[in-house]
Amino acid sequence: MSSEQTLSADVVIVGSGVAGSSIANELVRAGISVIVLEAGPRVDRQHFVENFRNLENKPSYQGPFPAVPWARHPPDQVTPNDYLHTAGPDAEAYQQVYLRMMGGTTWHWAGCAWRYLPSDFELKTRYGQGRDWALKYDDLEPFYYQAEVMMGVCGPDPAKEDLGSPRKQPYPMDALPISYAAQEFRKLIAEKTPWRVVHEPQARNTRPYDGRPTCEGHNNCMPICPIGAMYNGSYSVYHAEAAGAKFVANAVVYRIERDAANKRVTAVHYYDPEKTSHRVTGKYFVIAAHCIETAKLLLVSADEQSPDGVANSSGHVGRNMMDHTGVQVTFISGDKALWPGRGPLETNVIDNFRDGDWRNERGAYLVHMVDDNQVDLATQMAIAKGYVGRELEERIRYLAAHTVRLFSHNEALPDPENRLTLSKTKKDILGIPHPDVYYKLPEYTVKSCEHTRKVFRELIGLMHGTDEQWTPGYFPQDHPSGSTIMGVDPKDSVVDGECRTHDHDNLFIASSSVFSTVGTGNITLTVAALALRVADTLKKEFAHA
Amino acid sequence: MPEIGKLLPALLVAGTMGSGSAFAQAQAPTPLAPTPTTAVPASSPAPSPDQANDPELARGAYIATAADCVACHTASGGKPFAGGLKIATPMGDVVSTNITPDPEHGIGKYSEKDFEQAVRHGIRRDGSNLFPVMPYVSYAGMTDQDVQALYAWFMHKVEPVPVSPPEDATTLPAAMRSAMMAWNYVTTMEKPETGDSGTYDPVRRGRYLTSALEHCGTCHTPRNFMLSEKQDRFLSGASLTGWYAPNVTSSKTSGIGSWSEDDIVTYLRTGRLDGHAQAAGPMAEAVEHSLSHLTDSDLHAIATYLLQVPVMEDDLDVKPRDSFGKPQEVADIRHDVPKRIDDLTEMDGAGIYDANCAACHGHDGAGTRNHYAPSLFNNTTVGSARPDNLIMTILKGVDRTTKDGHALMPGFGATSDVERLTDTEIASLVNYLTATFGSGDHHVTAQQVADFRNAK
Repeated sequence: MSSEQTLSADVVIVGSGVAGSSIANELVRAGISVIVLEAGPRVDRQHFVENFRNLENKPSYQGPFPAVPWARHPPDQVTPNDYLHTAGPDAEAYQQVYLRMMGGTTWHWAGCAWRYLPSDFELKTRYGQGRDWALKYDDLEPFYYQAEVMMGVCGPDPAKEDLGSPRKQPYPMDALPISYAAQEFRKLIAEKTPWRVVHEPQARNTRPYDGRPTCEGHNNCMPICPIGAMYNGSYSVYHAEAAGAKFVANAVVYRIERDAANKRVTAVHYYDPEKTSHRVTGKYFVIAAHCIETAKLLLVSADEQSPDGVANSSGHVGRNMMDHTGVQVTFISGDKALWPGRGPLETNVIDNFRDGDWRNERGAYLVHMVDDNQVDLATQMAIAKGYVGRELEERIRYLAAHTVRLFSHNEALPDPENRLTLSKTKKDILGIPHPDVYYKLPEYTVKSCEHTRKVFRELIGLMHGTDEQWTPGYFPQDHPSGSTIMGVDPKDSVVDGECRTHDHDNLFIASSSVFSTVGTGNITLTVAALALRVADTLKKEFAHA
Repeated sequence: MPEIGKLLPALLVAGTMGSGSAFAQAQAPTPLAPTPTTAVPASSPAPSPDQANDPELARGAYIATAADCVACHTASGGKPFAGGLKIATPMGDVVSTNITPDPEHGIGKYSEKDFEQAVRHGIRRDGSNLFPVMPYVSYAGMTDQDVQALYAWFMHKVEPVPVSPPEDATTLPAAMRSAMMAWNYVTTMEKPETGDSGTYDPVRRGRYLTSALEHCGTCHTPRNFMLSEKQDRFLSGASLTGWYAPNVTSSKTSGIGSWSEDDIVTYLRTGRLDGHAQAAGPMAEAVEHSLSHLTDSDLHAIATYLLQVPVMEDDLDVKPRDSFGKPQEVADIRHDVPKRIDDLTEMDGAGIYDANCAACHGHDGAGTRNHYAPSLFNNTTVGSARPDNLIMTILKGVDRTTKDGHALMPGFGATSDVERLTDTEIASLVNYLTATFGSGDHHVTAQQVADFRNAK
């Protein structure tokens, strides 16, 4: 089935998350016409908030965002699930969740807006591990700042708290005030350990910013900020639309059409929910989908010209899958009450393990002291132990005040064997195969996690902790990356330093899928910075054309 | 909603063709009050140290603040007093002028007499008439000494900006200006005060500030069929571009007579009186740029004066607007299954409140403990018999910066990044709010909300 109607724009973007929408916003304001195709539906905040309030299982990040049949996304982190099929020794450690809907997965991120360290871009050169990116920190620095301004990032004064990523400008907003629990945790770490706790940079308002209010500390950044104090991609969608970009919801791209020479992309094709096909032509194309969906789309687009998939002459599309797979523990502090759960979820990080000479043999990591409300867990624990009546209430109160949750982001390495392929058996209602991922945690990451466990045990000891509950195995962090890896050599990478595919001159990828290594900080700010850099490249090409 | 756009044409016809009959056909009283269409930066002129050494310049700076010149004569993000702010009027947009002392683009060539003619009589240096968007009707009450000080301050302390704002995008034909001449004859101008305004007793000082400088009546006094302020209904409330400037007479039921002098001072200085009222829209701007910069004794003078302004009762607001409602017992509107997001049923008022408002204002409507998010009961905006300001607040939000901080409630109108509510949703929400926390279900319709949304 094919529609007569053909859409056309200077630049066609697939995906409306932070990457796609911010590129659209930049281009359309430079007079370049843009169409953005979003596979999922368009839903506004109030419905997500109501879904969240109606939800029995509050910690379910995916719960308020049920998928539509034509744009499935994984349910919560469970194995097996009926969309993202993972296999291999560490299958459960790769149960990523993400959203397919207008605005993208930043609807339910925690707003952590880290810049990568300069060393994260040169892991091979500095430590002989993994790969180097085809760009350096300094290439990205101006775009990091642009992304911070766009999102509204708050962070500490660099003169007082240097987070290791050199800055030319201060953060757009002052750092968050820290909660009582965080203050106590800071004190403990400063007094009793050689480490430090730093303010986590956050895409969250500490003052009215961009017409959105100041964070009030509702403590449910995930799954949904109820007031709009935290950045999400929908704002960039609105801003791009206000400037004239066209966004099409429920447009599931399934094919990337190239010219006879297979050098340039000529159109993308999408299905609407009724499986009517539409063709969209343009001069440039940007795949700005989630890491998993980006690789899936390139593979699904395999045809006679490119039997292994589009942009895949290297064979690396879908390979090198990474994450910040880490370690998680909760325990009951034997020291004084901390009352976690005031303020945003993630505000405090031990950053001493983000870089060091030891990176030549084990991966870096960062430690979050998660400031989430523990009443739910405390109640489960107290009931499980048989408390009733007033003692139950007192026990819940005690546990809610004393429960501590720590988790880590541990660095993975790009391993071609960790690979996304198309399911041979499972397809969605449009006939598009589901993604399969094979995952085995690299030894480098295993060693890193072992180190983390040792540090966590030390922290538990310092806080006289009891009732440790370790998340079995490894803890997926929903930061998938690497599936269309960046590199200088077209033989072992998919995109170059500009995020342009080696195979197709007018096809760019703006997604965590281009990461050559994954560092330790949350990935979104780097995705946004790379996307803004793609926009800059495109603006220059249009200016010269 | 008054159909304000139809009034000035009548005036124009009358003024240019000498026919008085059109006046009689004019519709409901309407304001010519300026409403900046974009936010103005908080750049009110505060006296600098060297001004403090020169009493006349210090006085001039203070008068400029009290008369709130900056509000209209500064574009969003623009240089102070360089004009360029688009101001919605019943007839179309007017762009404010450059009143910096630049000789070509501003008022640098104005003599003190020229300046006085413009400020107190609405006559430009070239002899043509200003539109009464410029509140010369009020400024007519300024003393000679204060006009002189204001002139001195503009000439010596305002940075000249050699740029003209873009030409009026207005639909107002030039002939309108001559119509104003006729209008000026029949409208009531403030009578010039005399002597040293700094030595007045509190009531006289308060009257001077209220009527001549702050030009409160421009918004708060209803207008007669010729668009002149009805002096016999002074400060009894009027509409402007969607907002309703309420009755601020000393009536204990319809006005603010139940507030203490200190209450009024607190409201004027901060834009809020916890547990009673908050300033939004044009009033927030007046607080931000002008009232919050006045001296304590001047704010007390205004309060003293307002509390003895003749009582005017209102037809609709017959109980104090801040006297309604109580905390709402939290109703369980929860269901156990998330709705499918591709099946978006429209929520009812309670659901819309829950999803969009309750995070800050509380499920019980009590707001935050520090009143940053105010309670919705005992709230003039919710309690008023007129839903105007409630609808406008939902559409436009609140954005008010004073020394006490920056209060921001996002709007829920067509450009909101937080949530864009439809007319139907806003109508449901308003009816829920007034029924739950205010004076009863106002049965606002989607069409009414649309009218407010499009109000100019």
